[in-house]
This record gives sequence, C-alpha cells and structure tokens, in this order.
Amino acid sequence: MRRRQTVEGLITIAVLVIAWPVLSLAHVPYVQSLAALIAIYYLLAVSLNVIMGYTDLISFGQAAFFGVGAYSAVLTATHLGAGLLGGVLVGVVLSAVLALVVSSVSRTLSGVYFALATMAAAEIVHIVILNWVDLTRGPLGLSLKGADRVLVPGVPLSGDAVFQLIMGVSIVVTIGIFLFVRSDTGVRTIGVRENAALSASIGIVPTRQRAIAFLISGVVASVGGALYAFNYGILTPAVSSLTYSALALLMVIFGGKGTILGPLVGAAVFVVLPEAIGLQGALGQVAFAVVLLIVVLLLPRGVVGSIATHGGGVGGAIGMIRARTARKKEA
Amino acid sequence: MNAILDQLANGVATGLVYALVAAGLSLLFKGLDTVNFAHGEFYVLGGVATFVVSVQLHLSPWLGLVLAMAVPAVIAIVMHAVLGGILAKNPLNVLLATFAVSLIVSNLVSFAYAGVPQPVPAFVDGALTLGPVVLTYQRLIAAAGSLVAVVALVVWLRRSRTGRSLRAVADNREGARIIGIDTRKVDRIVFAVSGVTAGLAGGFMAPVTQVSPFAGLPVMVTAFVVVVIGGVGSVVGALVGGIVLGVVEALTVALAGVQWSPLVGYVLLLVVLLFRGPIEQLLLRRRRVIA
Repeated sequence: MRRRQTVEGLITIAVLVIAWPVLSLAHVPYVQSLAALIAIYYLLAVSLNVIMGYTDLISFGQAAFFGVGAYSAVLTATHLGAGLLGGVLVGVVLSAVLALVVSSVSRTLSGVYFALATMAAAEIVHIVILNWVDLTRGPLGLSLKGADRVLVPGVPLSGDAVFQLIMGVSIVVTIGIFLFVRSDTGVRTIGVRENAALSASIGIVPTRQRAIAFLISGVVASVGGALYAFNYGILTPAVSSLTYSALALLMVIFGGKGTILGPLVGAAVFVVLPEAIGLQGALGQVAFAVVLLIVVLLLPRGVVGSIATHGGGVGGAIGMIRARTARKKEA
Repeated sequence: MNAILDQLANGVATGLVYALVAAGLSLLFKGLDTVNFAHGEFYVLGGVATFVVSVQLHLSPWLGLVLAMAVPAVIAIVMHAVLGGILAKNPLNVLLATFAVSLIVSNLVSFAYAGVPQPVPAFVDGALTLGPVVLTYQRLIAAAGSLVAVVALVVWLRRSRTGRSLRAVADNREGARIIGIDTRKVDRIVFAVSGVTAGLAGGFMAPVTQVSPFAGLPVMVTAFVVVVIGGVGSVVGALVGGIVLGVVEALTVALAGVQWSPLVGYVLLLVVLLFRGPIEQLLLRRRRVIA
C-alpha cells in the first residue's frame, strides 16, 4: 500500500516536472493551452480526491470552492488591485470558511446524504453568484482587465507566466498531498475511512479528520479556480455549477479514487479525449460519453486503480481478464 | 394577496408533477440503493415523444403520452440489462455510467433539434379562472394526471403481487431472495417504473415548458430534493415533498422574485438533512416499508 503510494506519487511528480520545461521550451501555444487546462482540472480533481479517496465521502459540490476561488481572484484583483496573490488569499480564506461550515453542518451525514448536502451547499453558492448581479454581473460573468492581471501590484503577469505558475502550483500541491497522505494526520484520516468505530476507539476523532480533509480539499479547489480565472481572463457563473462538480467527480472515478496518479490521468483524458475525437458540439459529447461508458464497464476500479491492482502492460491485462473470468465462474 | 393565491394554486399543480418524477427516483433509490443520473433524461424523452407524436406526426397528444411512458421504460430496461452486473459491486460506477447515459441522451436530443427547445401545443387550450386564480387547462391536466399516476402507483405497490415483491426486495433483498422472489426481475421492473413515471411527467409538461434537451439535470436535482424531503422509498412522501417544494417555490416567486426560487429546494434539502431524524419520527413512523 505504502510502496504503491510512493511509486504513484513519484510518477505523478515526475510527469509534471518533466512536462513543465518541455512544454515551456517547445512553446506550442495550442499544446500549452491544453496542458494548462489539464493542470487546472487536475487541481480540481485532486482536491476532490482528498475527500473521496481518503475519507470515502462523495462531494457533489466541489465546484463551489472552484467558483469561490475564481470569483474571489477576479473581484479582488479588479476592486482592490491586489493581483493574483491577493485574490488567491481571499479565495482560500473564504473557501476555508465555507469548508468548515459545510463539514460542521454535515458532520453526522454519510453516503448519499453527505453527497446531497454538499450538492445543496454548492448550488446555494452557485445561485448567489448568479443572482448577486451588483457584485458578479450575474450570468454575464466577469472579465479581467489587462492592468489588473498582476501577481502582486507592480508585477505584471504575461500569459506565459500564468502557465508557469499553474505548472508550479500543481507540482507543489502534488507534493503537499503526497506528504499529507504519509503524515500522521493522513494516516489517521485513512484509518477513519477503513473503520471509523475502531479509529474512534483509539482516540481518533472521525469528524475532525473529515473536517481536515474537507478543508484541504476546499483550499486546493479554490486555488485551482483562481488560476483558471487568471488563465482565461473571463469567468461565468458556470464555474460554480453542478457541471464542474460532476466533471471533478468523473475525473476522479475514471482515474481511480484514492490514488495519487488517478486524478492526473482523469484530467488528461477529460481534456484530450474530446479534442482527439475531433467531433465538436453535441455529437462530440456523445462520442465522449460512449468512451466513458465503455471504460466504466471494463475498468470498474478506474484506470490507475485497475493497473495498480493487476500491473500494467500485457501481463496486467491478462491478469485482469483472468480475475474477471474467475469472478464470473464463482458467480 | 391575489397574486399569492394564484401562485399557491400553480405551486400545488407544479408540485404534483414533481411528485410523479420523484416517485420513480425514490423507488429506485430505495430498492437498488443507487442513483440514476439519467432520470431527468427520461423526463426529457417523455417530452420528445409527445412532441414527435403531436407536432411531427400530427396525431393526438394523448397518444404521445403512451409513447412518453413506453420509450423511457424500454431505455430503462436496457440500462438495467447493461448495468445490472456492476450494480451490486460498485455503486459509484453506476453513478458514472448513468451520467454517461444522460450525456448521450441529452446530446442526441440536442443534435436532433439543433439545440433549440421545441414548443408543443397544449392538449386542451384555455384556462380555468377561479377568482384570482388562473390555471391553464394544460397545467390542470398535468397536475391531475400526475396525482392519478402517483395514487395508482401507491395502490399497485400495496395491493398487487408484483408491487409487494418490489417492497419486499427494497426492505430486505436477501430475505426476498430466500423466499423465492426473482430479485433481478424486480430490479428490472423498478427501473421500468422509474422510466414510466419520469416520462409521463415529461409528456404532461411538454406544452407548459417546451421540450429542451438539457432540462434533465435540473429536473433530476429537483426530484432528488423531493425524495429527501419526503423520505427515500416513500411514494406518499414524494407526494408530500413535491407539493411542499412546489408551494414554497411558488411563494418565493411571489415574495422574493423568480430568480431566487431555485434556492428554495436546496435550503429545504439542507434543513431536512439536518433535522432528518426528528422529521422522520414525526411523519414516517413506518418508513421501513416502502410505498
């Protein structure tokens, strides 16, 4: 278990560390824009994975944090001129408060009920963003003026610099989560996931572990949202909608929950696949959904989860088929 | 005051339709312990069926209602056949798979109609005026039809042999299997029934709201809220929950403005989740047995 985590964590960090300079030097704008989106989606997915992977709770409302982060960043930059750094700080504080409120409200809930509570909280955030027209311009959304696109006042951010920041932050977050999983708190959290009653009997407080995980999750998603806003410079309330919550959920389940590499694989597939299929609009979505359906039916533990269980390559595939036929025979 | 009375009447009418959509979702939720993300798409397909029959084929819209129930039911049965295998093992993947189905259906509908919502003429034109209350006949048909369907569902669940075996499986799957109930068949029926309820509601509402390809997700979310308010697995609860949500939403429209009405469902949902224990004890003392 621990060894697998190490291997996966190192692979994830290695992929990011290698991709960063390669993409920066090659400097193909199209590829870079895809990579930036993958990294941002990765932050969203990895934030959800902290909850789903290490506490086994499902959050249907990850987009709330993403949206709060994005809107805080743009509003702070526009009205206070504090730049990305100030915006991220405001977003992180607001998201942390939101995470603490939601986790204390839902502390007795589990399973589908926890999922529904997070969905309700997120939709409330979404509706407020949509309807607080004086501040957010409602459905019109916000745009970031060139002059406000600064890291801190006086340090302008070019598009390329934002890309560097996105890559840097994803590496830092990956290392942070890697360390969290191996830390005492992380081990306690996983303990609660495995057996809450038993953990409580040795003095671990399950609700506190859940609150910590939810807090980390909210903060990471919020940072992702801020980077999203600065990367694109425009923002609509859609970033806080159920669509993004569902996207996060799908990326995590697809990649494999509770794995470190899974969210990255999920994010990459969910960005690249629609592009690769080449179909635009409705039919592209249909093709995408068909691929998704096939993967779910064939790889029920997620891509990384399935490989981790059976090993990669041809041997892994054979092992997987063997296990499958064995299961069929049993049944 | 008059406006509020009008809103109240329309709120009850809308709530009855909510109840019908939620009833099917509730049965599925309780019986199979899973969430069908494509439930809202059944509603959309019901609307599409009504549109095809009444607008494109120039036939009676009432015939469209039959198709509105049949098409989602068939798709639901196919879904069960494909997903049945992973259902027991991994509920999370069912979520993902049904989400994929919902994407496929809504985008195919969107592709077929170029993404434009399609208007459907009312089954019966005109409106009923009772003092300050104005209810279009279409809304009345939708409300009355939904009520009849929900009551029929409750009677079926309580009186018929199939309905009873369905409740037995929901109550104790293993026990039901031991006494010889074919649980797989029952699961298939639950899927089909959930398709029928949502499709019928979609057919009723097609003239009221038009048929829009992406209406499924908000409809499903609303149904969820109703299910939780009414209690999972309780069709009578869905009826109560639907009317409560419809009325509170309508009052919010009258008092605070239409843009805040979506907020109501979620706030109600949170409140109910927080005080779930007490409310259940108060309202649903016998809630282990569904219907």
